[in-house]
Order: sequence, then C-alpha cells, then structure tokens
Amino acid sequence: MTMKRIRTLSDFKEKVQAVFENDDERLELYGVTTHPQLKAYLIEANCRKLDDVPLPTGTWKTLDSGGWYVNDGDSMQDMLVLDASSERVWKLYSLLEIAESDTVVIDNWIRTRKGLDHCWLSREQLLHWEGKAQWEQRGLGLRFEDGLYPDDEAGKFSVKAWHGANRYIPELGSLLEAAKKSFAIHSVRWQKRNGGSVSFVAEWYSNGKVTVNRAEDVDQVLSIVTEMALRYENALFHATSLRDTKWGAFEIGFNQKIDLDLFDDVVTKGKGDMKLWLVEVENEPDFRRYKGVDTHNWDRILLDIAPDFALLTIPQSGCVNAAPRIATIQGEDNAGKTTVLFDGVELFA
Amino acid sequence: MPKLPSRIILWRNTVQLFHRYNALNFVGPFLDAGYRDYRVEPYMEDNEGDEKSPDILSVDATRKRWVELELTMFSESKHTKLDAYSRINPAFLGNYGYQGFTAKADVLSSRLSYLDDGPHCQILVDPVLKVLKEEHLDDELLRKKLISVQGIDMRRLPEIPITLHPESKSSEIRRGLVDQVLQLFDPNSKGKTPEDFVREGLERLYSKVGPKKRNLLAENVKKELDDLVKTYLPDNLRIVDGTYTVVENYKQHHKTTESIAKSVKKWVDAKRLSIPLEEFHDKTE
Repeated sequence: MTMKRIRTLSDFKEKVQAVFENDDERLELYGVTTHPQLKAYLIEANCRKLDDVPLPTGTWKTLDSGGWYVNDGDSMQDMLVLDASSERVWKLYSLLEIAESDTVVIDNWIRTRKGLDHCWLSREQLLHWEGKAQWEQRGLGLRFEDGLYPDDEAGKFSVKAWHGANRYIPELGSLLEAAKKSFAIHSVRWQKRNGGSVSFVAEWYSNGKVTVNRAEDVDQVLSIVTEMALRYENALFHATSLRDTKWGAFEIGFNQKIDLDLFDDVVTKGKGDMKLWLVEVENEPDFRRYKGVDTHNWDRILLDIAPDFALLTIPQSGCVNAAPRIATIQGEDNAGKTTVLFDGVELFA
Repeated sequence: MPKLPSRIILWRNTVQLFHRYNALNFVGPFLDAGYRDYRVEPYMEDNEGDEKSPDILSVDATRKRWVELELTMFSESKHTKLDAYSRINPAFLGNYGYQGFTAKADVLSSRLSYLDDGPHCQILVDPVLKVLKEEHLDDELLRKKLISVQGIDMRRLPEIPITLHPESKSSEIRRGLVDQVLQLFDPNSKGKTPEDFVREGLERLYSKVGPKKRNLLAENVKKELDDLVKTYLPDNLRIVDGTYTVVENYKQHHKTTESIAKSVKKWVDAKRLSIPLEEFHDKTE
C-alpha cells in the first residue's frame, strides 16, 4: 500500500481528524501506527520570509493553501505543518512525540534561528477563556525557579494541579489562588463543552505551546489556536506601534523582589534563560541601569531595574517580543507574577 | 560618581513628562493634562512662511490645546526663539492630522539648570522637576498638573531610545555606544563602521540631523572606539577597513562575555571619572 502524503490542507485536516477519532485505519493510510497527540506552537516570526529560517533537517513544502507548508525530506516528513499565513505569528502543528517535538521545534528550530521566537503568553492571555460560556478551567501549573540563586539556596516553588468535574479537596482551591497571586502561571488546562459533552480539552503553556488532549473537530481546534494567535499578534502590533511613535519604556512589574547583585552576576555573563547580556552603566543600591543585547536575536535593549520592577526601552527596530519574553521568563525564573505596562495600561493582556 | 550635564538626560527627563510609570509612582504632567500625542521637530511654519521646528510639539486633541517645547543647554537666552514659536500658525497642525486648532500654543523651555528664557514658562528637569514662570501658560489644567508634581525626583526615569546626540561629548558617546558594541559579538554580525554606530545611536533623530553634524559625530565616535579596541578589548575586537568587528578566533563563552562586559564598563567609567572641565560648559545650541 502506498502511503498517503500530505499535499493539501484538506489532507492535513483529514489526518488530524483521524488522530482525534483514533481512526487506526485512516491513520495507517498516512503511515501513522501510533496514537499521536496534536501539539501547536505559536511562533513569533520577525523575518522576511520562510527561507530565512530553514528547518535543521528537511525542508518546507508548500500545500495547496497560501501560507501553509508541510515538512518534507527527512524521517519526520508530514509530521509538522506550518501555517505561516499571518505576518507576525505563525502556527506550527506537530504530530511528533512530545519530547521529539519540543526538541525539534524548540531546541533545533526556534532557538537557533534569528528572527524566530516563542509567543510568550501572559497571565491574561493564558486565562483568556475565563468566564466565557461553554469554557471551563481544569487546572493550573505555577512555577518559580528562583533561578538567580544557586540550586541549593533557591526557594523554588512549583505546582501543577489538574482536576476533573469534581474537586475532591476544596481547600486546594484557596491554596492555589494564594499561589497564583505570587507566582507565574506556567500552564492552564481548558476544556470546552458543546451541548452536554466535552468537545475540546487542551493545555496552554506560557511559551505559546498547546497540547490537545481531546478534540472532536479539527476545524474547531484550528480556530481556537488561531484565536489565541490573533490575540497575540494584535498585542505585538500595538506594542510595535508604541515603540515607533512614543519614546516611553515598557514597564514590567515583579511580584517577587529580585536580588540586584545576583541579577548583575547573571546578565554580565550573558547566561541564564533570560538571554540578556548587559553592561551596567549606573548603579545605586536599589536601582541599576543596563545597556546591552538580548542574545535571543541580538537586538539592543536598555533596561533599568529595581528589586520589584524593570523599565525596558527597545531602540530602533528591536523586536518588542522582548517585553513579554522577559516578563514571562523573568517571572517563572525569579520574579513571580509579572505584568507588562505602557503608560500604566497593561499590554499583552 | 560625578554626574554629567547631559543632553540625553535633558531629553530623557523631558520626554518622560509625557509618560506614566506606576512602579515609580510617576504620572507625567503633560500626559495627565491630556497631551497624549507628541512629535519631535515637526516641520511647521509661522505666518511669514518661515520654517519653525520646535524640539517637541504635543497636542491635546480633545481640548484642542497644543504645546511646544524647546530643550536646550545653550548658555544664552532662548527668548527670541521661543517668541517665534508662539507665532507658529496652528493651521499647520492639519498636516499631522489635527484639525480645528485655533488657539496659539503654550511655549516652554526645558533645561537642566536655570537661564532666563524670557516671558515663557520654564521647566528644569534634573534632578527634580522645577516649574518657573508658570503664569505664562494659557492652559490652566497643564499649569495645575505641572505645579502638582513639582519637586518629583526625575533621576530614575527610564532611558529613551536615542543613545547619542549630535553634540554628545566623549563620556556620553561611550555610554551611548555600549549596547551597539555588544552587538558586534553577534555570530552573524558583519561589524559596524562609525557611521553605523551614529545612525543607530541617533535612532529617530538621524534624519533630523544634517550630514555635517553626523560626520563630526562619527569622527568623535571613531576616537572613542579606537581607544576601546586598542586599550580595553585588543584580544576581542579589531578594525578592518574602517569596520569594527570581532577577532577571527573569537569564541563565545561565559567567561569571555563576562570579561568583555567588564572591559566595556571600564572603558565607559574611564571617561566618567575624568571629566574635562570644558564638558560642563556647553556653548552649542
């Protein structure tokens, strides 16, 4: 039997629908013999064209719909489909196993290609469906690495609490609420009901990844992912317009106070998840000014920082995605709950 | 650490009066009064057709009010220039999308230290905000907002995107180049010429600065960078055909990046700690 290749958007949808329905017969047509889970990654694209950011192995092959591509030419062929039809936020759909997917997508592609970044989802974005009809939150993941300290001195905190229709330990609710006020949200599990039954269950992560645990309709899933992507893209356009028309700084508020000496030690070396390499140009006991680069894309940044806030100025055409990235990574690493403001108004919300 | 009279600080502290920072408990009085939109050196004309480009022009589109600010460290009065600004025809605001303005603008000067600029409101913006001759403002709301934040500490207001000014002196040039110097270590960097540094440092002011001033600034930038390469980073940077770039065998490592950051800091501090007296006296406009 000849394996069916993904050549059209419709082929991709058919394959994903077969995944949702555990349709072994149809999956086998596409050469899939396991039950993969669909994952999507929101990617911030700050490059002119797809050719500027080639895959580490294989190539992108065009599908019949404008801006859609499938990976080709390596052992993972047809397992990644990219929707690059939007200007700034792309959506990458993956049917690879999670470890391989995160390695291929995160480590080998996004992290190594200048012009690509994750979409760093804020607390407000992760909680986007709160209070909306048919939507229910099914749990939270909170993370605080305390990463400025050496491992044995760090006051780490992390919790991941999923629940089903019943909350067997109601007391956990108040505990989680208290932790939520202090620490960064790393992930949120959402489900959607259609009629009486659950039609969609997924876990959204702060780095713009979503893993689909259960779904009934591929078109519904693509729409939900697109909804978040558009929300993020609009926030990026708004922030870019502020960068271009104003001279003000993005303000990042921290819930946990940070140790400025430890921060200095990390950023002077250019190490750590923050990927900031900075030189201090002004120093007071509770306030520092830095100038340097965001080594993620080597754009310039000016960062004024105090124990409980940072003021970020992005000169020239520097990527404004630095603001949510620093807020998210700094939040999970050492600053707890964070917010990004401009003129007192929350951005990326 | 001695602090320099700096055009960048003058611009930074004046521009931030149009912004708000919750963490600093700071609400810029212009923003608070409704001046939400501002432009730097817009092209305007007076009734005689003479070009006038105030350093900052801002409008309150709701109340149909507008202000013009002259930012200066000039050692003589700006009285005449400010008088001329007050004669700018509001009809030219239409070129920027603002219709229906008939009132004349409120004109202010912003300085780091006092020098009489005639019958106009004056603000001093470092280290705290001082408001002088506020009775010359027609906009009563702006007057109230300015007075209400008089005395507020301006020292921690955030940096602005321009890191060089056409009249930047050596100490300010070094500080203004730090982030661009680190960019040279980008594995994909092809290096930068002094002209590149000037273009990036002047940022949105670049197109408003004439070629003569830009070339002079590029010469001064070159002097400072030459000292950086020769004295502070001889093992990491080199100059090839006028382009500053990393040495061929450069390899990125945490120990190297830390050492580079420390050397760059030393290069900046060297000028900050030995300020020639003439840098305190600015005779340029």
